[in-house]
This record gives sequence, structure tokens and C-alpha cells, in this order.
Amino acid sequence: MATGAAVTLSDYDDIREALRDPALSRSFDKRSWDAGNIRAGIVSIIHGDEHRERRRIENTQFRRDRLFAYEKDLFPTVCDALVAALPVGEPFDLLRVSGRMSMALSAKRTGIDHDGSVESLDRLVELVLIFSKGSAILDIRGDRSKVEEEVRSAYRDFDAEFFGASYDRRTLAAAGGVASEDVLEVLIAAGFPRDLVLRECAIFLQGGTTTSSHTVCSLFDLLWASADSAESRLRLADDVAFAQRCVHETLRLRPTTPVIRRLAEEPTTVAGHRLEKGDTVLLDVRQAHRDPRLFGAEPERFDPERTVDPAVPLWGLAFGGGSHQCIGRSVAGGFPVGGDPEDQTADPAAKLFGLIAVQVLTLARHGLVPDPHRSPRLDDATDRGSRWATFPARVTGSVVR
Amino acid sequence: MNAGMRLTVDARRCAAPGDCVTRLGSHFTWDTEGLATPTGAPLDPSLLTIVRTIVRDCPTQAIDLESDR
Repeated sequence: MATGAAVTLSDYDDIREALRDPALSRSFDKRSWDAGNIRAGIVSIIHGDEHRERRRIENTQFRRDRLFAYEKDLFPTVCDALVAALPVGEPFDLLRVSGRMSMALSAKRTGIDHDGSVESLDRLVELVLIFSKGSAILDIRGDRSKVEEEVRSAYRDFDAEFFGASYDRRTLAAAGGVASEDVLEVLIAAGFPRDLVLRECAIFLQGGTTTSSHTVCSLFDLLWASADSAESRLRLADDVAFAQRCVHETLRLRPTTPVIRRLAEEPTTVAGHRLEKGDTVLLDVRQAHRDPRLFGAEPERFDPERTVDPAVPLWGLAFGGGSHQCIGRSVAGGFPVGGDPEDQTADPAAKLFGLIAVQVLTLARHGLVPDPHRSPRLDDATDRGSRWATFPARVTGSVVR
Repeated sequence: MNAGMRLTVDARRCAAPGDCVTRLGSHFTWDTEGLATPTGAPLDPSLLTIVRTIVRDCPTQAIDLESDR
């Protein structure tokens, strides 16, 4: 376990340098691995060659043909069906409904079978919301051991209700020489032990669901509070490129992990700071995203049309960077418009806007509005300030004009 | 390739996220090991902006746009 000194970096370029330093890892809390660390051995934690090899195996499920099939064929239909099923005028929790939409695809990509019902999707969302507490374990206020036990219990339920049957089915398919089409299948084919595969699938389900749903809630929170809310609401329902810029601007202002941690595995120098083995670095992404030199005047304002420095993406470092950059970045955020003659044709069908943009576009088309009787509430279980506990909303059934 | 410019991918660094192949399939492809590799196609000057963005955004810093000179 890291016991060394801690350095905090808040300059954009310094953070970028730290994220790309191979001497810095995410491998915290090694002391408890033998006691059943809830995240032991998963792709988010491992380091160096082991991490690169794991990513090479799993990245095969995030290639161009898959991304287009998800975004153009599968996801719009699934999203529209799930939102259309919501009773008009009745309140619901947007955090859960967005999670339901994300989960429909995340489960498919991960290889977790379910019966397709709203109840099954909601149960999976319920489980990943618990898994996500494990990911934020270092930010948990209060007794971490209770949270760890809650996560272990959720793993057991996940195994019994979903994972076990999915694993057995794919093990049989692998024995029959069937080609791998999801993360679970490639992990089985690569020969990883079952308990690690379970934890890995849990992190893929979580990564494909919770970040998206918190971002969807934050987007509408920011958009409804903005000065030109009415105009933006109309554009959001009609212009997927604008929806994508809203997503990227939301990620800039409300990164899911506002402060990233890294551990020095060996002595190194980052942004002029000498680090010894065991030292920690805190990377204040939230602060870096408010640098007016990079993100323009009034960096606190929600402005999807803002012009940013050409050397940085609008989403900044919200997806992390270096070898541990979010594996689903291109799935969730697509690719930015502009400067890309092959992807950025006049035909939107040739462009990837990201699944979060598709979600918010669908919600806007169905007339998403705030619940007039209840306010959204942030999750106070962590210090992150970017996670919602609940986000009450309703739909009017058509675009709000 | 544009006069004096050459795309390279360091196979020791590449973790195959594939953004380069997805964004510029004419200039990047997959090799037999499943890693990204340049196709060797001529680099039109109009593509320099996107190529530089791809180089900048490569999460593992595996891509370089090098000068032959």
C-alpha cells in the first residue's frame, strides 16, 4: 500500500504527462489483494506489460465494425423502445432509465445474457451501481470494509443470476470453436481464471453503464440551467452533432473522476516533481478543465459551442489518458467533428457521435423535462461531486418547444 | 506518402485501442498480431490535421509522424 508523499497536479499538460508516465500505476492497495480485493487483477488496476496484453485482447471488441453496428443499428432502436415505454407525464429516475439504456448494450458487449425484460436490465443496473462503489472505494466516506462486503455480495448475486449461465454457455461455445463476439468469450478463450473473468465482466458492465448514466443526468442538469436552455433543448432533439458537443462539454465540466490517483512504481520525475517508489500523485482534472488558456473565457459556463485550444479535445482528460485511457472512450464519446475527411462527411451515417449523444437525443425527442415536484440529488457517499443519487424527470411524449 | 513524412506505429507500445484504424482506415490497418500498423498509403497534405490529431490522441503514444529527412 502506498505510504509515500503525495503531490497534487492541476495543470493540464502536467496531468497529461503524469497519465502517460509508465512509472505511474493505478495499482493501489496491494496489501489487501490476498484478502480478496474486490478489484484484484482487473484491467483498471494491472500495470505494465500485463495491462497492455489485457487491453490488446479486450480491445478487439471495440473495433470500427462493432462501433458502427452498436451506434447505427442497435442502440437507436433499443433507446427509442425503452424511452417510448415510459408513461407520459409520470415521474421516473433518469439515472436508472439511462442506466437501463446503457445496460442493454453493455450487457451485449460484455457477454452477459438476460431475458431482455426491463426488470432484468434494471436488476443489472442495480448491481453495477453497487460495483461502482468498489471503483470509488478510495473516495468512500466512512467504513470502507462495509462497502467492500456489499460489493462482494453483489458479485455473488451477479454470478448466481447472470454470469454463471453466460459463462457456461460461452465455455461450451469455445469448445465448439465458435468465434468470439464479446468480452466474456475472448477472456475465456484467453484462459483467464473464472473468478477474474467475473470481476472483469463486472467492471465492463459498470464502465459501460454508470459513467454514461451520470453524464446523461449531468448534461440535462447543466443544459436546463443554462441561459439558452429552450433553444438548446430543440437543437438537442434534432442535431446529433450538437448532442455530442453537449456530452463533451458536460464531461469537461463534470468529469466522472474529478481527481485521478496514480502510484509511483519506481522513482520518476513528473512535471518537475521527483517521486520515489510508493509516492502518490493526485491529478486534479476538474481544475485543469477550467483553464481559460485552453478552454476559453468563462470556463465555468456550460457552452457546447465553445472553441478550445486545437491541442486539446473538448472533453479534456475526462476519459483519462495514457495506457489506462477509458477503453470505451470511442463508444461513449464518438469522434469529434472537424478535421477528419474520412469520418466527417456530410452523411451522419458515416460518423460516430457516441452512445451518450444517441441517448440524450432520444430523450430530448421524447420531451424530457424535470420533475416539477422533486429535485435531483447528488450522491454524498463519495467526495466526487459528479455522481447522482437520483435524478427525477418525466417525458411529455414529444419535443418540448 | 507526403514528401518527407512517414507514419510509424511502435508495436511495443500499441495496445490496439484502434482509434487510428477507425478514424483513418486508409492509413492504418491491423497486422497479423492484431496491432495497428501503417498501410503506407501516400499522405495527402489535406490529411495532416487529422493525422496530427490521431498522433496526439493515441492513448499509448505508439504513433509517430516522422520526417524522412
